[in-house]
Amino acid sequence: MPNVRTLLAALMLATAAGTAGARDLVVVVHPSATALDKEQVVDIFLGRAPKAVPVDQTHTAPIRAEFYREVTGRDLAQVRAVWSRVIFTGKARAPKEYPDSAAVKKAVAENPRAVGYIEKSAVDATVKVAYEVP
Amino acid sequence: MLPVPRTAAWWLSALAVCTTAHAGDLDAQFSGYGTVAATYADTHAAAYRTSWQQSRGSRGKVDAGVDSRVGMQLDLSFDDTFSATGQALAQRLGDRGKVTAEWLYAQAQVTPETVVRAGRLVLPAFMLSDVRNVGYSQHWAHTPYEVYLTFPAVDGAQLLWRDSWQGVRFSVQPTVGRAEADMYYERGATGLTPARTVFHRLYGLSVTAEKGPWTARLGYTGADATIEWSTMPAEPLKYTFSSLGLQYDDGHLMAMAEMMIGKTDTAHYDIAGQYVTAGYRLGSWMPYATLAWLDYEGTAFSRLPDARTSAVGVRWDVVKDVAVKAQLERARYSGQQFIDVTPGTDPRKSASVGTLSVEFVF
Repeated sequence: MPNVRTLLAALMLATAAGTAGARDLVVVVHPSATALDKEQVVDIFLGRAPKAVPVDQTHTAPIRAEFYREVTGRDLAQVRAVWSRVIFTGKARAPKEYPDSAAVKKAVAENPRAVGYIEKSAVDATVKVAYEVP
Repeated sequence: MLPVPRTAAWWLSALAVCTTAHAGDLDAQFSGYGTVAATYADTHAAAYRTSWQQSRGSRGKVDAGVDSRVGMQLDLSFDDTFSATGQALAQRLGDRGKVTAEWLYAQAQVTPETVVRAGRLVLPAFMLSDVRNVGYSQHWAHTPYEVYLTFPAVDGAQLLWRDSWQGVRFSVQPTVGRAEADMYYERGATGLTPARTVFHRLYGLSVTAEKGPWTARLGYTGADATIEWSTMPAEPLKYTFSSLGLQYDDGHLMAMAEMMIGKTDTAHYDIAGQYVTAGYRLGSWMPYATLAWLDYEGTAFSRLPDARTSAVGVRWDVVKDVAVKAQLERARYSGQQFIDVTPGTDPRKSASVGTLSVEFVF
């Protein structure tokens, strides 16, 4: 029954694709910077850590929604509301957005205060993993 | 408030000098926020407003000016230490829309924890005072009138110190300066009375502690003011406002409570206000409810029953950077949000007010 086998294979593929959405994410910093705990990462990406420079992915990148949901427990609209309090009181600037993980890595490698997030599979020697998203 | 007073003009020219000096590494960011709202007070006995600086409101018909506003901000960074921010805000002041400079200051990051600012600033008198106009940042259609007294923007200086200790984030923010604005006071028998209100000296301290989903905040504001009545002799006043706020937000449940005690040296205008509000996020929807009340304790408010507002509403995050809110509230005529109250109206009675708004940021 080749049809059943095809169907099964398709199902397995679909399941694999479904779990691939929850990829392994890591927070990366400059190689000279120190590791971070979860609370520090949350503070940095919600505009509460004036000493760090958060580096963002584009709004449409699936990794962005996934990262904020996993780490801050908030969706992107909520995150934007939090940031609008910070921006319009002059306490911090909106994070700069970069088109992909390669661009994030480049920005992080160039600035010792920068903190970004990328897929674990994209990590290389130019950046250091500061926190692994569980 | 003058559109651009001397101090602000001075800072603007200082800014221009800095800009030319550092034109090489100048980094500029433009952003903004706004509200387009229709507000309807289901009454002909009074007009409903949302700020002490408004002299016109909704009275039995839809008013698009009570809650609508737009703010535009320009941030300039000259280097890692010096930056400047200007924010223009268009909103109803008096009986029509006006544009003023809400923020216009130069800032120096003197240590990694400390920022010093000078120019025009918004006084963080209460928990949300400095973002009161940024509707997108809040769940409700407007901040409760019972606590959020309108302070005009201050021309002065501010220090902002932020650090964390034992996993608790602290923020200490003292402000000093001067401010003035046309305010409109509802005075019972004499009706709505305009008065230039001059805060010769305005000073405040805001202390915040945050841990996980919790935020606690203590605020103190003092003012040496003169209310320059058009029809009566000018009235000098010393005010103090003490406030305590508590907030919880775990991403799903959001709850907030705040109390404010206002004292005057003459004990004429003593007040005490508080509110509690809570909402729960269900995907992009957030239903919420708010209760607020204000006790009139001053001698000038004899026989005025306490003001009360109860509100229910929902916020819906429609698309990126845009939220829609619908709010229904019942508010007593004794509240200061009601002006031009028809003589003979029972101040214990309530009116219904509905607000439909679109909030956006860019």
